[in-house]
Amino acid sequence: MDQALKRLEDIASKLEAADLPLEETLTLFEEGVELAAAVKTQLEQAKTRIKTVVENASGLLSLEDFDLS
Amino acid sequence: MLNEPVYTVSEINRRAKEALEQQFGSFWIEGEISNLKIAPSGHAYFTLKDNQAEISAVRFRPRTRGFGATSALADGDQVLAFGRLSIYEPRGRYQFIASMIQPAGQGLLQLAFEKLKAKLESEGLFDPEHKQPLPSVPRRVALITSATGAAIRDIVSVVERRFPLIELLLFPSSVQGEAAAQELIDAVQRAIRYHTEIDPLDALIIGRGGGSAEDLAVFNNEALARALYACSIPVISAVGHEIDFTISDFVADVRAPTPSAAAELIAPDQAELSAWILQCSRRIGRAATAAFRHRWQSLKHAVRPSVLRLPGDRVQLLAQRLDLTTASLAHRIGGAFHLRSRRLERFSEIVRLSDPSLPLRRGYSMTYIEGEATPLTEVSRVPVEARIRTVLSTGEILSTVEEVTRPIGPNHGSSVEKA
Repeated sequence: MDQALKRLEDIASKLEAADLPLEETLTLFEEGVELAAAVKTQLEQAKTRIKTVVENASGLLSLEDFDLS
Repeated sequence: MLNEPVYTVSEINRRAKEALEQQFGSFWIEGEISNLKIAPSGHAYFTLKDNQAEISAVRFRPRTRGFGATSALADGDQVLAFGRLSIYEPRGRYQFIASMIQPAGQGLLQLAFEKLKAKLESEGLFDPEHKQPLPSVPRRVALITSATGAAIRDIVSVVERRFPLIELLLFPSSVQGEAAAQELIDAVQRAIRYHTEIDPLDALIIGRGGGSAEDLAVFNNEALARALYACSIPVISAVGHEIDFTISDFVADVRAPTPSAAAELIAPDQAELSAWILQCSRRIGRAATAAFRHRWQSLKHAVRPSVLRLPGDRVQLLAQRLDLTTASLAHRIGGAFHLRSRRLERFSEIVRLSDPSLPLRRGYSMTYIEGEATPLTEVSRVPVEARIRTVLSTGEILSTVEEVTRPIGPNHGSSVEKA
């Protein structure tokens, strides 16, 4: 997510800064649009995941479901 | 001896009282309570003593409730009292007047806290240069707190509301009592192991909900402070309420006043983030529009010699891709991006305008050497008597070249070749 947002920012800056060839402008533009849509969908569909990290007798770490109720 | 002053009893008591009050002012005194008597008026009379000495003391009935002095007293209590020395003139009795009394243990706790704080501070454990910044959009966050306390509920509910993309990992530990300090340290070490061996953790929240000073005391543990200082994951300390300060708060990279506030620190607001994404998309749209407009401007200049730089099929392709993008954009993102899709339609328009057939309709034409596919851009390539094809918007003209005029340089006239 953080990376997608950084890339989005990056695309915007690139398009603003450079006089790129038409083809590249379009490619970047399309990537930006797809990324924005993907990130937005991801945001809307996300649900908080919470796990408990437990350590067994031999020091191995593993995840268990956590139930708030 | 005859020159010495003669005082009345009242006078000497008054002057002694004034001298005592001036000399000592207000101070703290530590001792054990004995001979406690509460008068019907509510005033408490007692003796404060240590191993060798004792002093009469009084605590007048508190005028206001809830301020320090209201704590219940009992014989045998070790207390730390704040007040002044005075003399009760009618009886000439020397006494301590207490305005605040607290259990000595609590006072010592406070003293120990200040000492440890000063020590760790001088060692550099609170240095701002050592503080790590929090990530702007964390993916995975460790929580060190009780699995059943208020803190975990508060944090989960804030993260759920603000930014549900964060994965929370609970490293459970008790947060009060004798074993708590070691459990907390173990949990910190477990989190560091998880961070280095399994998946990177972007932040660590350690804390608990509100409680009494004793309940929160474990967060003043020196070993815990050192473990937090050594932790490579950015640490947020969130202990109790706004007014509670612990050593953990000072050593952590960030202090949050409450667990909920800690969650707000790590979870960016979804609405803010959406707005930011939209803003980024707009920048992209605007920049792309500008690029196309710029292109179109240079295209217009290039039209002068009647030749376009973009071959027709390429323009068609670009326009089509733009249309597709516009359509998928509108479809996928809907209303929020409406404005931007309208802009996109405008780029498509601009690209369409750069279709070479359009200038043809306005009276420009393209010329080819017969049999060639690339339009002519230079006369030098055209020999006299060559057969050339001129393409207009509605048809073609085939002709034979009679004369070629070629400029030599800007100010040197031209050379002419004739058949």
